Amino acid sequence: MAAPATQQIKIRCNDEKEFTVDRDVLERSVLIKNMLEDVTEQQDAPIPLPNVSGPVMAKVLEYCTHHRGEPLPSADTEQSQDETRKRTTDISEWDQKFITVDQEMLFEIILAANYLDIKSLLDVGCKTVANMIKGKTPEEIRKLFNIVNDFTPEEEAQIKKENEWAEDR
Amino acid sequence: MDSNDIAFARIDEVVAVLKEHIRILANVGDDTTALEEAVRVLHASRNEYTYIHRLPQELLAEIFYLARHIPPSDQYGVKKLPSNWVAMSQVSQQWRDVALGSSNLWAHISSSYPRSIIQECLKRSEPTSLTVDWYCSTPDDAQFFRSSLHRVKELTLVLNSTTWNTLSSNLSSPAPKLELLYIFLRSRDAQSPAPLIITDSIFSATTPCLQQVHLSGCSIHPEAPLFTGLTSLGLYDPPQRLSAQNLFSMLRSLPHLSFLGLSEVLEPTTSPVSANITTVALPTLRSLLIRGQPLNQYLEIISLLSFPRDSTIDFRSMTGSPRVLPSLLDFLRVNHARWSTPLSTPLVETMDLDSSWGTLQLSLNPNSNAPGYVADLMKLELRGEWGEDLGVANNTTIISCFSYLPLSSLTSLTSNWPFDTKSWANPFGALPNLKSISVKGQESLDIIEAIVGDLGAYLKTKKQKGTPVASSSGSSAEPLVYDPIFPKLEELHFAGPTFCPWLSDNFVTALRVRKEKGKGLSLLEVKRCEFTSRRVMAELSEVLEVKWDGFTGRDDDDDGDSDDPYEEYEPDDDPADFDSQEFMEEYFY
Repeated sequence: MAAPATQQIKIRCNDEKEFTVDRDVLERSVLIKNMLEDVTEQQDAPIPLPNVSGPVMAKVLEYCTHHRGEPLPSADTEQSQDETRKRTTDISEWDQKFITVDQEMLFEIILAANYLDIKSLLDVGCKTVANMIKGKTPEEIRKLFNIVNDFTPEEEAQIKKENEWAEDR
Repeated sequence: MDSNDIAFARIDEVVAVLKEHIRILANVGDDTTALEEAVRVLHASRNEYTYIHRLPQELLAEIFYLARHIPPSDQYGVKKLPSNWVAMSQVSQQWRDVALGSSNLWAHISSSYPRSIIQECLKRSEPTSLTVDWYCSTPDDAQFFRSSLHRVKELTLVLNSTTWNTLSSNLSSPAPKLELLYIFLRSRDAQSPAPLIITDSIFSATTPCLQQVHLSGCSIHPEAPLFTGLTSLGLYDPPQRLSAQNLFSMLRSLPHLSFLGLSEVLEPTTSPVSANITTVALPTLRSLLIRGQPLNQYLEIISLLSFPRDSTIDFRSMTGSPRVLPSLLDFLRVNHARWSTPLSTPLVETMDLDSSWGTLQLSLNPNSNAPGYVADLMKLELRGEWGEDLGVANNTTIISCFSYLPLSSLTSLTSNWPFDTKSWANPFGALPNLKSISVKGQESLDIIEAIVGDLGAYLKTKKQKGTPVASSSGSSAEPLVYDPIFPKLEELHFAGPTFCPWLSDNFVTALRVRKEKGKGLSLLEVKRCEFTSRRVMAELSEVLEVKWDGFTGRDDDDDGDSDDPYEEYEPDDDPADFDSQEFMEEYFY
């Protein structure tokens, strides 16, 4: 007997780009999973995703396809996983390669993961940015993210004081 | 150039113009402050166009938390400090607002911070629970702990006796949020040789949330109030060891343990502990870590603990004599009945025996799910250094241990320890599945002797039974059933032995016979072996693939043969005149 065909789901991004994806891949997103569970009858209309563009969604789907079948964090394990998650910024080799993109795409992926509620992808994105920041001085961080110093003179004075404290170590 | 770059460039132009105005106005003492504020506002606006600014504040806060990540604890749980603890708060206004608003970013406090920073951290981290690492004792201890102990969730103290004595008086108030306590005594100082003992007055006996306690180098009062409701307990190297009775008394009051770590905890005793102790049930135990001596005693104690059959027992750094191996394996065997469910994880992955002079590594088959049986050994590594410590007695002991090992599945053997050469006996038995042997040092010859001797013994038996001896041409009156030692052996790797010419020739013969009987080897690797010769290597190459580094240990090797380094012991052997058939007849019979 042939295995039951995987249900295909259509999604539409904010640039009208549409994707047809296996349901189990899409269900890596808690947002979409909940949407699909709320819909009792099969609908042909694509699910609108107004906060995600086509190119970003393509990257997100690449991630979801690679990690399909992996257990999703349950409510019970979430807290302990959060603890573990917060203690390490290690990223697997595949994920590292996947997330090696320009800054614009990196932050778009993070925002998409946050919107779509894909915790593991959000982790990868946040850890990547954290690793970029780690060990850098404020000036190096500014340069990295194209930020300029916009502190008031009072804030500057306070920061100077903090640095004097730190030098006392 | 994308839209962001264009926006930045325009803002930068405006900023440059404003800066020029500031410079001019500064000269006339005009309203510089207002212009500076205008520049600052423009900078802030510019920052809003950056990619990272698009992230919601909670994600930025999460990133900050990860970026100030504290490296993992070491084996004793001591945490290292974050290096750039304030950088994120000094980048821009937005970043500073997020950083100062993230209380958990400041909730890690170390005694190595300047006092002013500690005070600032205490303020900024309100109302989050604190993680505190205290490595010294200072006059500020009292003030810090008095004002903060009620907020402390994780406390690590790395102290010596003196600092403990000073600090402990400040730890007398309740710690209602304390969940995790690590105390490590680094060393005892001369001024205060008394061992660090945790008394029952610590935290006013009020630690309702305490779940994990790990103590290293310090003793505990068996009645200390810390030990109720614990899920994790580690007792490592206390200066005053516990009696087995005290240990069991403590364990009996900890029915919820999921982790128990013990290292050098028990006081030495010559009498069995089991006589006075009844079994203690630890129904939630998942992991048991045993480190250090005395192993035999630990084994006895473990056998008095009742815990789930799929728990992991982790033996580490067993520094005792190899004599403990039979006890350990006995223990494993005895407990097969207790662990009657399939084992999904190896019971023992690696066991080091006396790392000062040798290591016995047992690599078990993680896929073995045989009910009621410890995973089969797949790989055995014996590593030791020749020396006075590794005398015949130890060697014999090691070999006697082999009979306890489940070796039937062994496929790989690596060793530089000697085997039993008496009567060319193979201490491992037949090793039916062994495919690869890798031996360093003179013990390589023991393997060669085992292979040659095995064939000789077989031929001798046949002759005694009156069966015609097989020749290299294979003619015989009745078919020979040759069941050689290491029947599945494919590869031999030798490094460093001094070859014995007469044995080399017999080795060639033995390998030839094995090949003829369908039990041939495929690879022989020979590295840095003295008194090898081109002739022998050439002959071996006819039987199997030979990887030889060409090293002979001599300057000249013209004829491919050499002086026999063992000549004084074997004066009648002349490799040049060697005839394998003749040799076998003479040598074995």
